[in-house]
Amino acid sequence: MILIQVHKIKKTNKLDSFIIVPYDVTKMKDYPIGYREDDFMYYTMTNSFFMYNSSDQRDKVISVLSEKGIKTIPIERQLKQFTVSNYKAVSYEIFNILMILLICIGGLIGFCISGIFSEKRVTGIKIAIGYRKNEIIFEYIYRILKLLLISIIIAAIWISKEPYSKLTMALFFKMLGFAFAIQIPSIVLITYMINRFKPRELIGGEQ
Amino acid sequence: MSIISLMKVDKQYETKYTKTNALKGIDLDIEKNEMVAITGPSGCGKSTLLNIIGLIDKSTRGSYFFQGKDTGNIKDKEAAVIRNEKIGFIYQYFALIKEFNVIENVMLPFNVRSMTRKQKKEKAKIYLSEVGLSDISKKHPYELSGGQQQRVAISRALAQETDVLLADEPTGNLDQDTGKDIMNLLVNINKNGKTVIVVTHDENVVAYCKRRIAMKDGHIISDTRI
Repeated sequence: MILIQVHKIKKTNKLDSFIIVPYDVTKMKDYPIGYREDDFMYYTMTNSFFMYNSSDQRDKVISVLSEKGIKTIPIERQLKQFTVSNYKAVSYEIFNILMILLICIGGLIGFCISGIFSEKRVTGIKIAIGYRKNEIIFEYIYRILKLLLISIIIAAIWISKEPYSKLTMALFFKMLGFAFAIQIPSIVLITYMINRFKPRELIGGEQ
Repeated sequence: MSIISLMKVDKQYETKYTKTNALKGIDLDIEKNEMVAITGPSGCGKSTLLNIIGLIDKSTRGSYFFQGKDTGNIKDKEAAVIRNEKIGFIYQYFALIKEFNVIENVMLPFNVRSMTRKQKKEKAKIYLSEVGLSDISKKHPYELSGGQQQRVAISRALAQETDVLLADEPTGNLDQDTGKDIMNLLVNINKNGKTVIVVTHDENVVAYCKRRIAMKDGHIISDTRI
């Protein structure tokens, strides 16, 4: 017996306008329940269930429906359309993520540069009283880490409150990884700038 | 043995278009417990000399021995330890961090030492009381007068428990009376066993020092002891 799972029909409220096509039950997960696309709707067979035993029977159903003026679309084609639209959505998501990452990196770099320049004198004072440049660099990195940690905590709380998402350990570590990755350019910049500083030029002048 | 010994020290600043010889063949020995004034007109190289003595800057040529140790090939890490434990600085504009309160400013040099916060605080309190400022430890530098700020800076340098105290125009931003107080404080510090080197062009400040080194165009032109 072939199980009938999902089909696509012209949007209508009439029960007899449902198109039924045979499909592998294991692929059902590919179709979101009630997914809507333009004038078409995808349905599961939970409330429009029909079974048949052979392709002849299927052809017969299709021909009957065709006589009633109901357009049928094979599930393979639906799947292809769905994949294409899904691929576009994923590309869009990736683009968004990349833009967000770039903004984050840019923001962190800006945060570092403004911090380093506004604290030039403090850096000079610290060097004069015995701080090593590495210690000063570490102070800046520590500051960024604190900022990222706060961001991760906020993101984690957000994710855990979303109805369709779940905060797993794997996801949490992925977030940590991303957080560390996006601060690498900032660390490189901080190291470069602090190492170029000449303390004698930093200390003088009023507060 | 001299605590500070410079031999044929040159310092050249180089930009894309110009070369400036800030120090030319400086030979200088400073003994432990001396109080030295380095004087001269602006641009004569006295602050450069102080920066080299304080391991803030490096000489272009020549040798500099601090407590018998050649600092020529010294690593940054080692220089930082010397600056933290052996050399204290006082600047004209006090070099205090305005975001920190008085006690936090005095505690600053301890942040690179392995001390607990309690130990840092206790030690800072001792040195603040030594300069008569224990009652304003919670105030911020901008709430203090120039003289008080300079006292905080001196307290910080004292808290480092260094052998040498370098002061770059310590009274340059103070009125005459406050300047006198600060110089008396430095004289007392010197009497307690520290080597004090003061860079100044103020004759009133020079009068407090037992040794006077005059500089001009990167050279030492006179070195007199009183």
